[in-house]
Amino acid sequence: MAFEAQDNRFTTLYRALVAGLAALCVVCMAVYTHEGEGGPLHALQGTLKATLVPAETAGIQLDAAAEGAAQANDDAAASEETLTQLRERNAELTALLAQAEELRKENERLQGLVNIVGAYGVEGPTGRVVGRSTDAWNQTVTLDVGSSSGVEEGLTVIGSTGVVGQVISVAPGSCVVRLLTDPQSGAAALVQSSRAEGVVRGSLAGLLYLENTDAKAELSVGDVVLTSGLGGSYTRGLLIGTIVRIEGGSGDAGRQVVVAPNDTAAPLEELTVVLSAKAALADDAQSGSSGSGTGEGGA
Amino acid sequence: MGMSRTLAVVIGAALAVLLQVVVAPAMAIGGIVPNFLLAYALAVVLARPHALGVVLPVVLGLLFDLLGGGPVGAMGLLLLLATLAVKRLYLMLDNDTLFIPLGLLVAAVFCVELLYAVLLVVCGFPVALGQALLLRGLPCALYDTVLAVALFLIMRFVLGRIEARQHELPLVR
Repeated sequence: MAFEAQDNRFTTLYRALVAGLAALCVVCMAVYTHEGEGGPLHALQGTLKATLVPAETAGIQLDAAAEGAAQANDDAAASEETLTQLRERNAELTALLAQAEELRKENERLQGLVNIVGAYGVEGPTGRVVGRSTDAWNQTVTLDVGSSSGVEEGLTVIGSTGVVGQVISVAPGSCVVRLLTDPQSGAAALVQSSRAEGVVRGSLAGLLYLENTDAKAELSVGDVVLTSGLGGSYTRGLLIGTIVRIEGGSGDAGRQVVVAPNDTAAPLEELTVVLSAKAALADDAQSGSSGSGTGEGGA
Repeated sequence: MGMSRTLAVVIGAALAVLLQVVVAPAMAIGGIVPNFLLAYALAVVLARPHALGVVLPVVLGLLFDLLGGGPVGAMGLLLLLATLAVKRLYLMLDNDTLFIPLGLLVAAVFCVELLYAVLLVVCGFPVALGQALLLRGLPCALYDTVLAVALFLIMRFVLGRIEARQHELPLVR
């Protein structure tokens, strides 16, 4: 009898615990959905991510080590025929390298020229990618520069040849960047040749789509897409990518424009957080004339 | 016996969190990142149904949400419901062959991943439901199934060894 009563009490307590935990989860979800980016749960997410930066760094190094091991394995398993092919390829590459060296020097001179003109004139801290998203639904990277270097939420982040994403949370020594390819990101953009404005959005497939453009705007494959700076979310005049596919013609309200990003964030890559850029001024000055050469990647 | 088993389960959970932070991003295939926490919770509940309480799955789920960028509470709720349902079904079926727990494991992983995709879309994730299910839900479920089966076999062995050792001990002289 006493055992039965105790058992009933235990069952009631167990059910209450389960109901309490389920309610806690539902309340958290409701608060998270409605609180916005500055809410306590978002802040807790940011803090936890910042705390785990050292562990994430180990993960990035693991990634690089795995790539190295795979390469070494391929090399070790190479047959005699493969080796002969590789030797021939090596000779070919040596010739190409000499040519590339000449081009690099030329590029250096041109780069210097571009720097003098100050096409971008980007100022801001450069950090290394020390972490990546731990789930499949978010495309983010963690950089080892934070508020102590002047980084703030909402700043644009660029790679060596174009926009990569935007800072979404900051800690003193690190910041989390949402990549342009994430479905939750959106950058106000303009097509350089036609000056047509729109919004570049990411997708789960990893493609960028140029949306909300004027249906009559003349767009063609190969057009360069830049940030327009509208709404102040991204610095104006930075290179996003080029149009690679257009489904539907001019005047078609439902046409889909696919943009290939000019830069992506690879492991161990260095990215720059844009605190200020003179590109906006340069772009403003040239917006009257057609086809400015601002930010040509040439990668 | 309960103490050693609980300790092993908690240590395993801590390892799963560490793997999620350090190893999972490096194991991503085409943007599909494996979910060690989901795989671990389901593997343990099927390896030893009474070894996993109701608090640990919620804690693991909440940690997954906090480490990633999804709505906090979504994975916690799904892990709580999934572990409870799997435990109840497994005990009801009362079948000790390998087929039943593996079948339940696969079904549970798919249910959790697909429902997570639905919850994300309901909470405002800006993609169509079909895309979320096809491009993330299903691939993630497949990846996690492989992981969960491996973890299930490991946990079954580890917890089995702990219980066997504990049964040998009580010798009173």
